[in-house]
Amino acid sequence: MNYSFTKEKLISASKEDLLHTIRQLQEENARLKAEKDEAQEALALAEASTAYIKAELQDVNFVFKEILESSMAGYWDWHMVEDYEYLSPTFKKMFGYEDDELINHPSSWQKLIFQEDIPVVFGKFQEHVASRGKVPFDSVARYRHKDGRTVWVYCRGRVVRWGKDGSPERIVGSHIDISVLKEVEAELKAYNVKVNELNDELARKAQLLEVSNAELERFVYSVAHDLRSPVRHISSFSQLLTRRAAHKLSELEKGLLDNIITSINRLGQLIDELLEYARMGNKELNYEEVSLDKIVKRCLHTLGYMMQGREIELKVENLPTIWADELMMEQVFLNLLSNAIKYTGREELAEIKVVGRETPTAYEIVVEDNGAGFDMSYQHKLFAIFQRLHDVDEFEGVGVGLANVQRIIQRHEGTIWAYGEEDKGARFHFTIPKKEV
Amino acid sequence: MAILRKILLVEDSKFDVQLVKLAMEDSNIQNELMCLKNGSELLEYLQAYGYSEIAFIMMDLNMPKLSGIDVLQRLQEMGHKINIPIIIFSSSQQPSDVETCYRLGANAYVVKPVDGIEFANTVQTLAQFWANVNIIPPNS
Repeated sequence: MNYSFTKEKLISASKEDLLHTIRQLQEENARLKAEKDEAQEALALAEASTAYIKAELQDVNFVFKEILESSMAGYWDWHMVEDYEYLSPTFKKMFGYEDDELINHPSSWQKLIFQEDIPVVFGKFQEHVASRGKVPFDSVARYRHKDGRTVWVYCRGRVVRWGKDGSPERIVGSHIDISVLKEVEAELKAYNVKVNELNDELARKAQLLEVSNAELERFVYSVAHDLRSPVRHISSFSQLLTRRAAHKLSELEKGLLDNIITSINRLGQLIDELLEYARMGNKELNYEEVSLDKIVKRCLHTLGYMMQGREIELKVENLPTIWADELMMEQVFLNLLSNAIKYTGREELAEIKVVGRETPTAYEIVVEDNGAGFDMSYQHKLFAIFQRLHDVDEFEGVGVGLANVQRIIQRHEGTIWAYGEEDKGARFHFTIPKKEV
Repeated sequence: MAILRKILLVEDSKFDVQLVKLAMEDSNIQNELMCLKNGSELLEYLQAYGYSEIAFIMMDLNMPKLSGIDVLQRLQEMGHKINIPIIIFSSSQQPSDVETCYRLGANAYVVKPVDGIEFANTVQTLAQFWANVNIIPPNS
C-alpha cells in the first residue's frame, strides 16, 4: 500500500476516501499487532524449548559422565583449535592425581605417557585422521603413575569436528586402565614360557633316557654275548671231562662235576634269554599280517616235547589275524604256552585255553591254565626281569620269559596283565591295538 | 683212493679249537684239520696255496684283525670264484649277522651249542656232511 500523501491528493480526496484510508490503516495496525503477539508467543515458546533442551542436554551429559566415571573409564575432550583439553576426574585419578592437580591441557598427559609410546599413539591417530575417521583410533600406551608404577591404558577416541581444510578440530575419547589385564597377560606369558621350558626339559630327559636305555641294552647285549663263550667252554670241558674220566671218578666226584655242569648250563640259559631280551628291545618291529591261530599251532608243535606223556586238554578259540611282528608274536606265545605247560606239570589233567576277543580298538588274547598259579600279592614281580615266583627245583626257568613278553606287547603299544590263584591256575590277558593296514 | 681234502678251521679261541679237535678225534672222520687263528691267516693261506686241498672252511665270526664277515667281504671284493663251502660257526645268534653272512656268500650258519656233547655232535655232523657227503666241482 502506498501511504504517501501529496497536497494534490488531500485536496482531491473526499472525506469518504479519507475515512476509508483511516479504516484501512486501523485494520493494518491491528493485523500487525496480532502478528507481533504471535511472534512474541513463538519466541517465548522457543525460549522455553531451548531451556528444556538445555536441561535435557545437561542431564544427558551428566548421565554420560556418570557412566564413564562409574565404569572407571577416564574421559577426554580435546579442542585442538582452542588448545584446551578436558580431562575427567577419573582420567586424572587413573594416574594418581586429584582433579585440581592436573590442568586441563594436553601437556598434562603428554608429561605422563612413556615417551617411547608416543609415536605409536600418534601413528594410530594419523591413520584415523587420514581415513577421515573410518579407521577407529585406538591404542595401548604406558603412563607413569604418581607413585612411580606403570599404568597400561587402552585409549579409544574419535574426531567429532573437522575443519574446512579436513584437519581435526575436536576429538573425544576414553581411557581404560588395563594394567591388571597386562599383569595377567605377563603372568600368563611367563607361565607359558615356564611350561614350554618344562616341556623342553621333559623332552630332553625323555631323549636322554631313551639314549641311556638303548646304551644299557647294547651293554647288556655285549656283556651277555661275551659271557657266552666262557660259559660254553666251562660247560663243554666239564662234559668232556665227565665223559673221558668217568671211570676214574667216584660217585661223589661225578656228582660234583654234574653240579658244575647243571649250574653252568643254567648260567648259559640265563645268558641266552638275556640276549634274547636285549635283542627284543633293540630290534625294529617288522609289522605284517600275522595269523595268531597259525602261530599258536606252530608253537604247540615246537613245544610238543614238553607235552609228551602228559594229559593236556587244549582249547584254541577265535584267534584273530592281526598287524604285528610275527617273530615277536611267536616269542610271546612260546613263552606263555610253555609257561602254561610247565606250570600245569603237577596236574593230572591239564587244561590250557587260548581265546581271542575283539574290542572296537584292539584284539585281546587270553591264555589260561589250571596249573600252579601264583599269589596275586606278588603280581608286581610277575613281569620283572629275573624275578621268579616259584623255586627253580619246582619249576625250572630263569625269570626272563614274562619280562620279554611284556616288553614285546608294550612295543606293540599293547598292555598285558594277569590273574592268578595259588594251585588254581593263571590267566594272562594281553591286547594289541588294531592298526590301519 | 683220492687224497682227502683238509678241513680249514679259522678260530681265534684256543678252547674252541681244542673242542673241535677233540670232537674230530672222537669221530671216524679222516680228513686233516688245519687250524688258522684269524681271517688274515686264512687270506694268506688261500693266496699261497689256493683252494685245491680244502674240503671246506669252518670259520668263527668274532676274531681279532679280520673278522669272519671281513673275510667274506674281502673274498667277494677280490672276485674269487670260490667253489668250496664256507661254514660260519659262531656264538652270535644275531639275525643281522646271519643275514650278512648269507648275503656275502656263506653256505651255512651254525651257532656253537652251549652243551658240550651237543657241540661235539654238531662238529662231527658238519665235518661228515661238508667233507664227505657234499660234492664240490673237482677243479676248485
